[in-house]
Amino acid sequence: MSFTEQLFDLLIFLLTLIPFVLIAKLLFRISIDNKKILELSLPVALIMGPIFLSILLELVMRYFPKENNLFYLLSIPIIGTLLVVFLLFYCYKKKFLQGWQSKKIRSIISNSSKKEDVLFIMLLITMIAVFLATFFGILIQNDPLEYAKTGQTIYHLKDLTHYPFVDTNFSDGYYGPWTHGLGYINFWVWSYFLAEYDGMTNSARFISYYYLVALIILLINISTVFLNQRFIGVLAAIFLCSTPVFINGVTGSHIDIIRIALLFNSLVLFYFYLQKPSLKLLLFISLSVGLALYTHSINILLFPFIAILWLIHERKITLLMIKHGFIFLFFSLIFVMPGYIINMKIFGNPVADSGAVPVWNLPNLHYDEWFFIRRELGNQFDRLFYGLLKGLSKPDWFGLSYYLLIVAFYFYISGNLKKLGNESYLLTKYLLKIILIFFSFVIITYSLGHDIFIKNYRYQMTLQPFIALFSAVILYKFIPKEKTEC
Amino acid sequence: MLSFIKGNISKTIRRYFYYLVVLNLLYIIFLILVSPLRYYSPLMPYDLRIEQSKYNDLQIATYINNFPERITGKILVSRQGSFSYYAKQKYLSVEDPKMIEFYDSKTTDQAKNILMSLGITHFISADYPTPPTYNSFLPKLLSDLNFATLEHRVGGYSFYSFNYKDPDKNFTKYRLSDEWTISNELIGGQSFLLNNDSNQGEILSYDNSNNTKPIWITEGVSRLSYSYEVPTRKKEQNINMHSYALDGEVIINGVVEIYAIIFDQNGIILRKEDVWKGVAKNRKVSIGGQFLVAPNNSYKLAFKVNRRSNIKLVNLDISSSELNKKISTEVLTRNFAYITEEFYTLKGANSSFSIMKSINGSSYPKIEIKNISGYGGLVATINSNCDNEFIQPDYSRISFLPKFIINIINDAKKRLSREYLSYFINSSEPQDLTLDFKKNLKIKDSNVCIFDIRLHGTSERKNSDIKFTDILINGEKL
Repeated sequence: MSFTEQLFDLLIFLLTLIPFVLIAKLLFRISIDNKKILELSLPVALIMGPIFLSILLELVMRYFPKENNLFYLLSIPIIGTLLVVFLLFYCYKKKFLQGWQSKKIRSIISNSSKKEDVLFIMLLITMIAVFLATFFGILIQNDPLEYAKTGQTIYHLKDLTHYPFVDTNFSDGYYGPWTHGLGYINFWVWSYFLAEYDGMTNSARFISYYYLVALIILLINISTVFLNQRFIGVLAAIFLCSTPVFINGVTGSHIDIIRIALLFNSLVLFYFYLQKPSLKLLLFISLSVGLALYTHSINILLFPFIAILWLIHERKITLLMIKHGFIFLFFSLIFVMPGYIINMKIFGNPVADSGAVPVWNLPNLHYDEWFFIRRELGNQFDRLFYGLLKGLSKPDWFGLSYYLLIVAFYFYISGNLKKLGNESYLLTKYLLKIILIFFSFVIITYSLGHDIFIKNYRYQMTLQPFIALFSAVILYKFIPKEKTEC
Repeated sequence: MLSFIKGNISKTIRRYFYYLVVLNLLYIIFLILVSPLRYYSPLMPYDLRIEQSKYNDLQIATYINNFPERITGKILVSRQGSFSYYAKQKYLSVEDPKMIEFYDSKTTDQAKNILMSLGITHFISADYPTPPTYNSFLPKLLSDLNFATLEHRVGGYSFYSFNYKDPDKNFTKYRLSDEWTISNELIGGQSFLLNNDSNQGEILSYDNSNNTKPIWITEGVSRLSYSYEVPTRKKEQNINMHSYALDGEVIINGVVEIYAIIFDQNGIILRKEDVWKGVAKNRKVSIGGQFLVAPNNSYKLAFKVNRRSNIKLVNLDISSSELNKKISTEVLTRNFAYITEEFYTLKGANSSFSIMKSINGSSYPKIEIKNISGYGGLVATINSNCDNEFIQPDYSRISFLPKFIINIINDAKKRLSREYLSYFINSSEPQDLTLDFKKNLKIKDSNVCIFDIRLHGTSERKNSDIKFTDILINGEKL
């Protein structure tokens, strides 16, 4: 496949995502009253939109299995476009579209110093480099290959009856026992449909890169709209891009970037809910959480996260919280319930980790030892140093991010928080709460002797955008600038 | 806050912070762009990039794709991801629940029967330890020369075939050397005799649990492949390889790996073969695996005891048999590549000829293509199983440099030595073409190397083709 063909495939793939991004954007418009929050509509829609395509593809394949390729190729964009037209009509009637214009894009160059411009240009160069590395790379990491293979198998079968593939008689020998929804896998299925070529299709290889771009736009938009300083977002994006394991995930087309983007998106939206509770916004958040769950089982962490954040914020349980809590649970579980029921039947658990592979539980094979020793958790020292403190002990994985976090944390606790300004103060407090909640999960499970949070570096990667934004806000505000003395 | 930082100091901190961020980003850009380039040339077309990739698991998948007719049953695979995606053969993952019956089997015969009933005829190990290769009957089966044959190995990915018929090979047993040396590195560095403080019953033991670096324990005496043979000494020259099998048990705590280091007649290291890897927590596990040694070459066994690991070897048997397999010249065609009596024809993109030939010589072969005509791109690549030889060139002049710089130089040298020639054929008049591979690796005359020469058509047009009448390798017609 030549470069032009690859680029053309990618372009077509991105074009088919547009209706779904528009659906997310219009739904966001319907749910949000606050003009300031509406400024985030582009990145939020970019993050949530593509998952609608996955859901629609699953629905079409479940109800109309084994049709020919053209049926799926036409039905998905047509249904997507019809939904957009319907939503546009609804918005027009309810007058949602009036006065919905983005603020003028502030010039980055006009109010930034030369050094800041250099950093912005370097971020652009990094993004181009990451794109080239993805473009010129090949699919090689084990997990993306397994998801791609699952996509290929579904494309051949055009039937989801036997998904997850635990019985290899029905999947052409392929064994893929995971409990995740089809959020990510269906991008692969869709790219196979578009290419009508079951060889090395590669437009879905770029989906992680797409999510990195969306995440960076979200970071920059947050800082522009809420902190009045676009540069903080650029700095946060730079911190994010300088985490080797994160970028490695992007160039390797890993699922993690997608799940992290959806988790970050959900928690950012929840921040606005806590500021001003509204049922419409809550429904939109439950949609975002639902999509996050549909993409990766580990996003079930969002429930304890949201519950704890809510309790800390309110400091009491109110009737409204209970009412909203139930509505939230109901709507966020609506997409994943069918999948969870199937998982219960197959694995005996809606969300399973190592329990999903029976061979791993055979006592004579000693897979438990293998996991611990191979992941450097063999003894107490390793568990502490390479397990719990891997953010610090593995700079080749996490870069400087955890060291920056420590510096930022020191500034935060020892500094004058008034200097931050109200919005920055509230936001950094919220981000810090999330980081501390995550680490309290880690420390509690660690001290109880479980390795669930420390055994896999990718779980810890979940925090990366929060750490990047927190460090960027604090360091930007506290590192003294030219002509200002503190 | 920060009231102590004033004037110049604040500027300094700001400047250093800025430099730190820029440096960090530069490092990341370097990492992103440079790291994939170690494995393939980015300008190749996508499919070719996969075929020519230097990733071991891809190379083994490509190797197997080239011989689809040799594989009749299913391949048992340790690493499902890359194999299932890139190879086109039927397979079964070692984690498939169908394998539970095999792991529960009580005897080797029962284990063999279960594998047979599952239709498994081949096995591929991974380049990292996987529990079935040291905790089940699999190592026992791999150490049985009558049952398993090592077909191909790329790094730690070993491709074995299984034979369910009656035993047909005679094999000889060897004894282990009783002298072992211990060193921080496999090759070079200071090595000294291991103090044999082990118990009588143990062959070898070493406690590396307090060390943060791996330790290599290597057999003290390098031996020719026939020197330890028990019944008679076979001295006749032939180009048949000998396959050696390891069978034993070892108590390990941590991670232990076994390699066979292959030497040529002059005692120069040719390659190291990844034979076995195990992970355990103070427990006895089984050793099993094979390696190939050419006549006139010799080998040593080496144990790599990883950091914070220890080893107690309980028993280890080595047996060997002659491998009755000669590789003659083979020409394989892919996609729209045809051989007729008159012409070799390449039609459209991704069609290719792959020529496998064993050549006894001191340099890379000279390849000529006769009477080539047509329209389209032609790409030629060459690889040989001797490419990995001379992994330790002479660096005595620059030995004062740190190890990692020598490694970078070594890597760059290897990279530059890979060659990829491309031509554009646009002529209706037949012409002769000489493929000028300027590989800087020299091959010792004592070695027989198997070369894989590939000619790919890269034209996007389906109806354009390239034709030629003959391929001459060192002046010899195919």
